[in-house]
Amino acid sequence: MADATHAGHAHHFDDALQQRDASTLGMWIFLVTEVMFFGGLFTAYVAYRALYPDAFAHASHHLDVTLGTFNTAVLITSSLTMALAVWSAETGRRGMLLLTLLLTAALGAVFLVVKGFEYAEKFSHHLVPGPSFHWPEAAEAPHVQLFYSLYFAMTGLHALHMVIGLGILTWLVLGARRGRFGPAYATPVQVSGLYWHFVDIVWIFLFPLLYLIGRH
Amino acid sequence: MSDAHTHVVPPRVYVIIFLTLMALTALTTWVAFIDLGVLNVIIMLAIAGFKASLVVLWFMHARYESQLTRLTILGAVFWLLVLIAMSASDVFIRFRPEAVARLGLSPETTSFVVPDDERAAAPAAPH
Repeated sequence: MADATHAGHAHHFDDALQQRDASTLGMWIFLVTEVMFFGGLFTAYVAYRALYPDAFAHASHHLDVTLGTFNTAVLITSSLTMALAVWSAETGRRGMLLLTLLLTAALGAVFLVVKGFEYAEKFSHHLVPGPSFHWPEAAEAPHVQLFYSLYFAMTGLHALHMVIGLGILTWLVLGARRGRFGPAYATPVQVSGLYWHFVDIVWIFLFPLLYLIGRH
Repeated sequence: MSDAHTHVVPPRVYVIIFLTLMALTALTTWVAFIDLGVLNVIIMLAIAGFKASLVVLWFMHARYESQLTRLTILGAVFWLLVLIAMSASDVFIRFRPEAVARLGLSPETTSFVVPDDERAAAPAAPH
């Protein structure tokens, strides 16, 4: 069975191309469900921002634009290294594949560490929704809490996807070390790449919507 | 057996897309600090949408995929927009009497609108 998948295709597919297309479509179907999953949170954001535009702008001011921009650059760079990993697998460059996969994982880890520092800062400034939440203007406080609830739900869910992505990358690195991937069988790298880029896209929208509102 | 039909995108293309994405990130951050009124949010979303399209088309190879896969992707975008647009059209009117006034609708047709004084309490907010 393992030999069949590596050298050609499983018995229920006509050929390797059909097998690859099926894997790609399957991953995209999963990503469609992910779009709707995150979509619910984005919809909640749109609704509450429409209702409390000023509170959202004031709350957003307490996020660190420098760290947010830095993390955006880190994620985009990790998407480049992931795309290069796919290319390395497709063209049979094993050393390059290992290097780009490790770089992608390292950049993902950098993103999570920066996010961790940002979260810690929010805790120390009493901006985490709950009993210790504190906001100077009492009238605005509940709406600022809504912003921070959405902030933690959306970036938290995104960070969870990053952690899962790091797990997938670890699995790819182990496979790449054993020389499992090459021009004849690059599908796991290609499909994992789709997932990684999707997580990048979510951040592409989260960054301006959370960090950049009401800056002017 | 080689997967000869897979379209291999050369690194040069990936690097060009990467540089474009970085430039657009710088642009969106820069624009956010300039007061353009309503235009701010429109420009911000336009840039984010364009960046996402670049990632989907090139990094995610959507331009080289089958019609079925591309239709699946478009389906996701379509239903996401339906979800957001339909919800927004309700929220923007129900809880914002000033928006209804601007539309010039008569009171009889806008009985669903939550008045200003009830608005603060209406949409569930913690304490």
